[in-house]
Amino acid sequence: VSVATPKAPPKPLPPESANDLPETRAYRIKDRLLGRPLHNDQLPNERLGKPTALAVFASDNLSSSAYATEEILRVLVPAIGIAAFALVVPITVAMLVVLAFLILSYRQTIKAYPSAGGAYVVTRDNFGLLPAQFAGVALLTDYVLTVAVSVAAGTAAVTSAISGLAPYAVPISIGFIVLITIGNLRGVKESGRVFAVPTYFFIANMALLLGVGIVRLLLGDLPVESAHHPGLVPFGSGAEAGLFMGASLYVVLHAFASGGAAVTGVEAISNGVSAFKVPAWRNARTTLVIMGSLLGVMFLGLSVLASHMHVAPFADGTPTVISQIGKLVYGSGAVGTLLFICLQLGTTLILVLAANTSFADFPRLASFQAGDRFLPKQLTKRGHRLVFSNGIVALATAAIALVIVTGAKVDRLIPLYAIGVFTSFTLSQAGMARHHLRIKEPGWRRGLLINGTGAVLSLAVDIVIAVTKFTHGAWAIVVIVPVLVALLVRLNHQYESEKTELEHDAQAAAEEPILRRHVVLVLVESLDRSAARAIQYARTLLPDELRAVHIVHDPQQAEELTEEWSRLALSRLPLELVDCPDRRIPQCVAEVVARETASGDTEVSVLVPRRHYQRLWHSLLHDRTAESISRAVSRIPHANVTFVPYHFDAPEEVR
Amino acid sequence: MAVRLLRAHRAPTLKLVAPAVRSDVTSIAEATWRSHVTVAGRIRSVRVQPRVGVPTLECTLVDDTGGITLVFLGRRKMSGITCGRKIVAEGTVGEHHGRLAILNPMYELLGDEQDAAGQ
Repeated sequence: VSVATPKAPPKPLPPESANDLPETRAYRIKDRLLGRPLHNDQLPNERLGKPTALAVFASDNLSSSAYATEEILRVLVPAIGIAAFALVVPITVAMLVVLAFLILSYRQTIKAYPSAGGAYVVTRDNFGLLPAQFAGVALLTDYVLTVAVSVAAGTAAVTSAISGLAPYAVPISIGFIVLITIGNLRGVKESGRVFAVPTYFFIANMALLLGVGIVRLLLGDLPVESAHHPGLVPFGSGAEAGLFMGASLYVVLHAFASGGAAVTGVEAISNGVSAFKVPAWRNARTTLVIMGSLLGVMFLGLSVLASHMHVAPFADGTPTVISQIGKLVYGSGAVGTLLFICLQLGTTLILVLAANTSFADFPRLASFQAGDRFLPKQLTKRGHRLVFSNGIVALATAAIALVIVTGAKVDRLIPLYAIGVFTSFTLSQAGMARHHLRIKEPGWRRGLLINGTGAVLSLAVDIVIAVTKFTHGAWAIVVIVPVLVALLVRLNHQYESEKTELEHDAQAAAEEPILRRHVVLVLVESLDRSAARAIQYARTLLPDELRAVHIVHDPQQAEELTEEWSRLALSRLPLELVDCPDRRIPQCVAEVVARETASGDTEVSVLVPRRHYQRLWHSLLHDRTAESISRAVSRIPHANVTFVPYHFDAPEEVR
Repeated sequence: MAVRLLRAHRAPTLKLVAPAVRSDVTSIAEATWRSHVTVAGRIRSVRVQPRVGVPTLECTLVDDTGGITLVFLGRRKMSGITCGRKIVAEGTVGEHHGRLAILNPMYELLGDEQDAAGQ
């Protein structure tokens, strides 16, 4: 053993930051736009107290009160005229009864599924995967609609206050959606606190509006609107319709169905029980009851005020009923105007935030479904900031498309709305009923009664909505949901068969004897430095046969290359010139490879020199032959493509 | 199978060679080991060796029925033997690296008269 030259002792590994690879431009833009990437450990596990949780989960639900009364009146007024104002309160009360049952039912769900509840999981656990897809798809479509409806309604609140903006409703709505999308891609953690302010601001505004309104109502000095504004929806005549005739019953049911939009968002808390402080389920239940009560008071209060002041909706949606009520209740004094502006601001904010609730729920639900292999796998991936980025983008895309198609009109979107939610209510409540029957926990009879009633009631409302709003656009949902479910099932079959094939005897396949021969082909365009890189790399491999291949597209160039090659001081590296009479180079390469693999005992590696450019516009100057060659060759079994990069403008040693 | 799949989409107009120019030309598929044949076709590929390698020029001649290797031992270059040329080759069929081949065939260029005159 020689100790003549003292060797330097080994050193610890360099820090991880030392071998940082340069980031791509696209990544740098993303980094700037969305913030630094989050570490896996930073997955939000922060638990919310009741006040914050109410703000986070209730915005969707509470915001419905901003348009529910209006949608009821929009159905009633054209049909039965002035009598509408007598019917709006009873219909509201009927809706609130449904709401009360839903809240009772969801209290059960929260207790039974405290970790990851939601209609999808409940249905899957109790009825199996296929019914769960119905629940899932119904909810997904409704989340898309929630975004579209909330943003359109929020935009309507803006255009009610500033009428000059009315023609720009669609761009404004899209702007809102894009803003919310970016906010969500940055991550939910921040948004928890962001939620609190507008939600409570809206609640305070509504409390003030209803307080002032009720006091003035009791004092008897509330003004009553005359029904003669231009742009109002036409008033029907109540006399000829006959209030309690069959036709009117249909109108009442239709109005009730439109009011169904009010209870959407009840399920939000049951989806996120795990986000509550311990004891999670108890806190979640309390928050659910508070949310339901707040919604009930607001919805009922607005309906009472609207019915007393005879506020009718405008045909084109602006000014909204809630803004008309605000104007009438607050009067036109300086303080009144200020309060009115506050109300409009609060309404806009909460409606936009309601869209945000969908942005939390849609990606999570989609990731559940994708996890069960019923939606594309990409939806399970957490992105840059640990949120389900693909789900967020998918939701935004669908919502923007919907806003464009409907022209950001709330009343065109409302008929599509609520069917999905009530379908998922029905399935999840029925699932809960089944759960009680299976598990028989103490007190299961009471639970069964509550959830059973909830399921029957939701089903009834669902049917009413589907029937009465069918011709107004609900048919689209009735058609789309089963079609989507069929598509998802098809997708699932595909994933399952892929999985079966990939996993079939994988161990035996890995241990099989290897192919006898290995041929390495180096693609050479001309004898330049990028080809030299590929030749260098090829010489490190030890194949049975190694040769360079040049596809002849220009005889002159082929001639030059032949000259240069025969001067090359390399043994065992012949150059094959291949004729390509139809000038399809990728296809030609594929044929050369296919001739090698045809014997069945040969593994072929194709080395493709690929140039890497420092700047985007540099790569625009060249075609993407390397990629198309790789695509053509990869279709052949036992053909493997390796790109050998050549870096322009890089220091000599890293090329 | 892959080859067939790829072939199916090739342009059908690429007839490889004109109908037999000489009466004694046989199709490549009929060439058998140790027989003396005259075949005609298009040079699909040419293989050149670098300076250090054994000086050999190999090319693959194809017609509509198949392909055969032509080997010129001791040569780095033969005039007219370039990709896409149509030639008639004559010689005894032997074997080269496990493939059916004609060693040092006599050949005649077809088509372009000016190029042919050059040899």
